[in-house]
Amino acid sequence: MTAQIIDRTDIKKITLNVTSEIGRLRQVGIHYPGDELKYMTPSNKDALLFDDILLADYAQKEHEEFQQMMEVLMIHTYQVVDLLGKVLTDPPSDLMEQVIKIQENTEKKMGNKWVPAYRTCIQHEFDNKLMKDATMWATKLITGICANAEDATALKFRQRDDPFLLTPIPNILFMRDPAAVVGNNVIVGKMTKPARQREAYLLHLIFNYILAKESAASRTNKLFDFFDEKPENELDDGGLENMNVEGGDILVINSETLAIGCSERTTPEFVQEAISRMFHSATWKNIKTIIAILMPKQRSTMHLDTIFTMINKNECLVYAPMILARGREQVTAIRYTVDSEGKLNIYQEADVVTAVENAMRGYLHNRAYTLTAYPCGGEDPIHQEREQWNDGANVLALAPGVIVGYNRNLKTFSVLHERANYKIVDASEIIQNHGLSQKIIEAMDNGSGEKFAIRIPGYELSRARGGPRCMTMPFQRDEVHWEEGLAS
Amino acid sequence: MNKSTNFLITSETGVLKSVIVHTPGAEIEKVTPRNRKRMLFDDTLYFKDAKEREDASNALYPDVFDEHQEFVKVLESADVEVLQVKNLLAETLMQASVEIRDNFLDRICELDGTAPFYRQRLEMLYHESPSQLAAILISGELKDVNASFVAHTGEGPFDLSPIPNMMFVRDTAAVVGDVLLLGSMSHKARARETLLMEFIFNFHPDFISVRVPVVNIGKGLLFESTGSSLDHSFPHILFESSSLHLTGTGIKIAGSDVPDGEFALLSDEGDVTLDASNVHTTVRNTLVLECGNIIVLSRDLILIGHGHRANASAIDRLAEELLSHRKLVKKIIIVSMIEDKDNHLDTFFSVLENELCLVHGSVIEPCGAKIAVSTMELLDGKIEIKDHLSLREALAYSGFNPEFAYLAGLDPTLPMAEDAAYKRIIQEREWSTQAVNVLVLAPGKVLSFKRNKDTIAHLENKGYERVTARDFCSNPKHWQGKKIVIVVDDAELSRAHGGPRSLVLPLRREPAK
Repeated sequence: MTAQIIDRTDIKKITLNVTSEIGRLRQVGIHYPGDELKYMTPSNKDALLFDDILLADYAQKEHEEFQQMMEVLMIHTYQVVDLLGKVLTDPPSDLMEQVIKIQENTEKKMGNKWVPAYRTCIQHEFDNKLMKDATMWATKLITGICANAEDATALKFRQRDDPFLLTPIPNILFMRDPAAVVGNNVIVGKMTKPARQREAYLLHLIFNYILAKESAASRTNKLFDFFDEKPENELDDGGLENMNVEGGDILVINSETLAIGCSERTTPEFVQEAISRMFHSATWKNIKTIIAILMPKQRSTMHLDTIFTMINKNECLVYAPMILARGREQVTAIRYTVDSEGKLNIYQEADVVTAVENAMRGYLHNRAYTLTAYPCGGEDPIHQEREQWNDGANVLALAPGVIVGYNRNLKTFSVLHERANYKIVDASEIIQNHGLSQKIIEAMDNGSGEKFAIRIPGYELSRARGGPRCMTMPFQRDEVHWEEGLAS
Repeated sequence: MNKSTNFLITSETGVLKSVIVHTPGAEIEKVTPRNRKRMLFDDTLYFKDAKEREDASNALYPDVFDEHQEFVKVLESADVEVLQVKNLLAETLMQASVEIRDNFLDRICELDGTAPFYRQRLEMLYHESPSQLAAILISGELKDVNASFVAHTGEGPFDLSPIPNMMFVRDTAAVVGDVLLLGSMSHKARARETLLMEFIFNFHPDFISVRVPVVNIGKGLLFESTGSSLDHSFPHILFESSSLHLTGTGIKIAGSDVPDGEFALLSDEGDVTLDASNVHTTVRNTLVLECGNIIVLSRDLILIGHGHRANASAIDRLAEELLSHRKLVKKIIIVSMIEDKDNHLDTFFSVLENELCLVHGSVIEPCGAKIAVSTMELLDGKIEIKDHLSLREALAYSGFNPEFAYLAGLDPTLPMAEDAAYKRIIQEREWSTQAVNVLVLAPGKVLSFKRNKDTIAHLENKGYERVTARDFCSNPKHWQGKKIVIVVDDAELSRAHGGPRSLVLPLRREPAK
């Protein structure tokens, strides 16, 4: 099958509804990595939050296979650059002003110099010609712009670590983080790292556009969007500045329960605010339980979804030392629940799995529910660490019991195969073998009970420290029929 | 090993005849996100264990072992004799006398600070299977997490630490002319590598039989045989490594070609009485020379990189040895890496054919802040140092006037293009993925990592043809007389940040024409 990027730009067809981590995926936002990867060098990769430099066309090939496999399984994939292109056909008047403000902010936070001349240079680059071509404009907002050897910033371009007028945002490959759909609503991220701030702004624009185009009976709201939040007074912003949140830390366990990681990227201040809004804000009224998971602030486990993902109704994949009871680096899980009388109950849980079980039992009105955790990397601590690092635990569920992971995490796949009866298939096989893809669609749509663990190549992609869950922002998942097939 | 011929390297491009490599093994699996920096890795590498390798469904996705196998296959298709460190080590272990082996294993244990019981385990392994012992000396061994608390807590998982950089065998040693130089590593994580190579070069039966003169760079003084019962024509055996300095021991050499006997070791303290019980060590690491910094331009001329991986004391020692003592070369050009001190010179400079070098543009022109260039030569019996304006000038001064091909095609002599910033980004990217660090199989036959596209495209402009490893192996004769760049898959190999040149230690090349 020849490579083909399916163009999906009809924003009206987008439906926002995500009430679980595992419901059959219908629509998903992704970013096909582009020239922004070519701008990464050994000297700027750390500032851009990459451990290694990626070769763009290899990464693109792998990403294409991932995307094609999803399309073959009848999952509609939306490219962020296409959506942004739509926004830019009718852009807000202050758009470039905001972009430049964020760039200035980013440069200063990264310890770089900022002079007013850069503003003029950026404006010069984004001239009328460029801005008439919405696609080109959208692309440049992601790839960034190198300083030109001939203009006023001639010295800047000689800087090895930062020759950019507009910094590239290669991390937008990890679409999960700058925003998250929760129920019918949206959280737009407030990114911790300056290198990612423009991503959240672009997603803010995209969701504003989607929301504005929705029918009059729009059901969609923003749960949180830093770019909309206006502090009541100048001196006290109510802690808004500290409310960092990234989508990788938000797990939608069920329609009433969120698990939120307090990690390197999401602050306790945000979680506190979320708990408070669960009571006081009408848009948050569906959320009845928040499990706060207190994680160490470290790169290897930057988001909750790097150590814990749901893969089936009663199965999860975990980094055992942090998630399981008696783990050496066990994280703390605290469950905040609003009971039927509107009272807040706080439970210190034994471990994350227990916390999720308790939340699920509450959601299922005290039906029996147990969650089985499978260790990423198997039992050997060395391999647990190695495969966690390569996003062994960061899998994407396409449906209950149908998941996607990187090929290199062999020990994780072998655990799923041997202990949980997953059938291991390769994405390339699904693309080529119609019978196989039909069989998987059948399992996804009708719950045939067959389980599949799909491998995608991750030679280049995994270098960027993000797995299949990181690379996807689900717009729409089917509701999960929790009662069916649960062991009681 | 072809026993009839000695080691001989008088150029970078003469037809390659014999090399040592190490195909990565289980040591790769022991690099974790937590220990990777200490192991000098930026990332972890994909590696299948034996069971996973057997599983046909995993064949779709090659790992670092598979990539290295393909690399070796290219060498073999070009009629290069490829010797594996692991096999040489096993053969040496089998042949060495009890005393030599004991001493060797003791030093490995001391270097690693292993527990006393583990020394016995190595002994046991030897009796079970020398080849398994050889494999473990490279791959290291894990502690039992259920029996060791330090392993249980994840603080120290190894009984014997792995040496995952062994695959970059280039750095451990170099042949210059017909002399073998043993390197001295800058990082403790690599110290065992030179220890293994030293053991192999001194005691492997094939190498003993060809009587390789070995110069150990880590050693302050040169040992000369002192009239012991040892055969006089077997000179310069030293027992020393970069971080451990053995000041005395008694050694008996057993082997078909060398009569049993004793010989003395000179240390910094002078002669040491031979006494097997008088073994003690001191930590020392004053001379650093990783051999990726040595480039043999001709019979008379070598190029040395100076930085963290080759320090000035080691260069002095080398000059003394090669210029004054052995008169092996006439000049040494030294490139001091000012900006990128932690790199090897062969990431900036390589020779592709007699009159063509591949270089990072910024090292060839007037130096600026990037590098400084000096030459050392013997004038009236005394070493004299001279500074130069540029590497180009220093090369010309030494009678070497090649053409240049440039990393990512970025020619510093041309005026700056409008997209210079972008070009420089490509240049830096391909530099870090080892575009310059190519291996030359014969003049105009170059082995490169596939991902360095702009550099390869530039070589195509210079008359090279790009050939995949598979195409080359299927019919190597077809490319005779043509200039080619053979590209190998590098998805995992490139993560370790060493290129094709670093993966190979050449022992013999035909003299260049």
